[in-house]
Amino acid sequence: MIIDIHVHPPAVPAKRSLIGTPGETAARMLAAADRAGINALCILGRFWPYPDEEGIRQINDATLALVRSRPDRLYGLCFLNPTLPARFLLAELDRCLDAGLRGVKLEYEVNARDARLDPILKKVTERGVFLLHHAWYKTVGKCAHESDPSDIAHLAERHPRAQIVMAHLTACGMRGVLDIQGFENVWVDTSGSQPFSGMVEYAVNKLGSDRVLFGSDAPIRDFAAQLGRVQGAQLTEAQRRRILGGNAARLLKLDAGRLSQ
Amino acid sequence: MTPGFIDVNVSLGTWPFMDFRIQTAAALAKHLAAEGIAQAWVSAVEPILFTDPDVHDEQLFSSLARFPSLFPVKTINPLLGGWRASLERALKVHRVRRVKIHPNYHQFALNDPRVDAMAEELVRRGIPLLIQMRVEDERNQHPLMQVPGVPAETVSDLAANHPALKVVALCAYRGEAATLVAGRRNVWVDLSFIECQDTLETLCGEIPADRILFGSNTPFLYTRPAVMKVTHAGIAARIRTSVACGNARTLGSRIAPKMDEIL
Repeated sequence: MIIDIHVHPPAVPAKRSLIGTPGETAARMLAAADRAGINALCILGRFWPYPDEEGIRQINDATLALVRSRPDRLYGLCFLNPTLPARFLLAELDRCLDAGLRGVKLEYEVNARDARLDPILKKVTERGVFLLHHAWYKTVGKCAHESDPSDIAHLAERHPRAQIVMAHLTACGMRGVLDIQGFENVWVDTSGSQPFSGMVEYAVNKLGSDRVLFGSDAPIRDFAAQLGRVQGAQLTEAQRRRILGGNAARLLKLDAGRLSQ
Repeated sequence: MTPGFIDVNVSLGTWPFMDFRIQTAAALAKHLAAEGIAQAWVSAVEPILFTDPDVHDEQLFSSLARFPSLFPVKTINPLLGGWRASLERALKVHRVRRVKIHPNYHQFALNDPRVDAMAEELVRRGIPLLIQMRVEDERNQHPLMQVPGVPAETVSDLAANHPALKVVALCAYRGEAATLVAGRRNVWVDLSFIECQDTLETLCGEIPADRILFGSNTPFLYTRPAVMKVTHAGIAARIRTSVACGNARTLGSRIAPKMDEIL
């Protein structure tokens, strides 16, 4: 079973809505995933930057609608903007997790070193879910408040029991892998930038294959090409299986019977 | 089933910011064959930074000689004296039929008269010009080694000024592809740095399919992602085949029908 942990919903930011109905959007996403042989997708939310409370609810409702349209193949994360009041954020997180979403996604509204993330991480830990956080080492083009892997390491050190997935292996590079190497509560997904050769093997060597997850960053990227990073890497079949699905299944809490299908 | 690919964007050598697992021509030939690539256009990595391209090109050409699937590419810096002599030697001694330039790393503009002189020489000899737009994602470069990509407009202008010159832009982004190809019958782009959902279908909606070449940018990038952009594309098999090898074969035959006996 191949699970893509990093998928954005096809949306029209100007309209603040999905492209089409949830059913149509899900069908379009899954048709593209099918061509690459990907079985399940984890939807991250966020159609536009810095959404307010109403916007956050709108985004998460859209994610829930997508997931409910194909609960057999789609899973979702609750998107939050940590600049908003903590009381709202925690209530929204509880609402989304109770409704079936599997974790939290944070982008770059707030840097990972910011204390405003702490109540969210406490809740993530209490509820036993995971956080997927954007990260990138950028020489140029860095956004305000954007986190790099050292910021993720700082977050992991503050919350050692929280499960954190750092996005964008090939954009974080070797330095990013080394930043998180000592934090057993941090995973990394394989998306980001270009498919620089050797990076998947390097991450497996430094972190172990239990801490690397397949992520595509579709529809910004191509499901098949992203899968090619893992399929083209020099790995054992056991390592490849863990990266392509086994590790994600554990984070998403999918049952073993489901995984074997 | 997609037939054997022709990969127009392959390198061999070392790069200070990466640890290439493929270090020899034999390893490269074996790796590419395993990926379904029947022929590859191979340049040396070191001339990107090393002053005289001949030093490493000579080593490259010798190492490739035993591997008929690996076609040597000569790197030229038209600002250097003696480039005509080194081109002549590459053509006669090593039977090189392709030339690559790195305008950004070698710090010249494409409207430099010395580039025009080189272009005319390549036209006269029926040699295509590969222009390396970039070798890395600019966002990921070493902070002390920031090298912007080659402006697509300048490549397009060069192609316009030399309509008989066959120009292949390597490692262009999707957003640059239309600028490169628009209105030009003599410009091609490779797939290595172009990616979006359903890459090939999308790109074929933006530029003519006969201008798209298969390129992997091996070993800077994994080879498989580029392969899978083609093999998993939801388009007609005829177009997949054209991109995989047909367009490169046609380009080769148009360029040097008598010289290029393999293509």
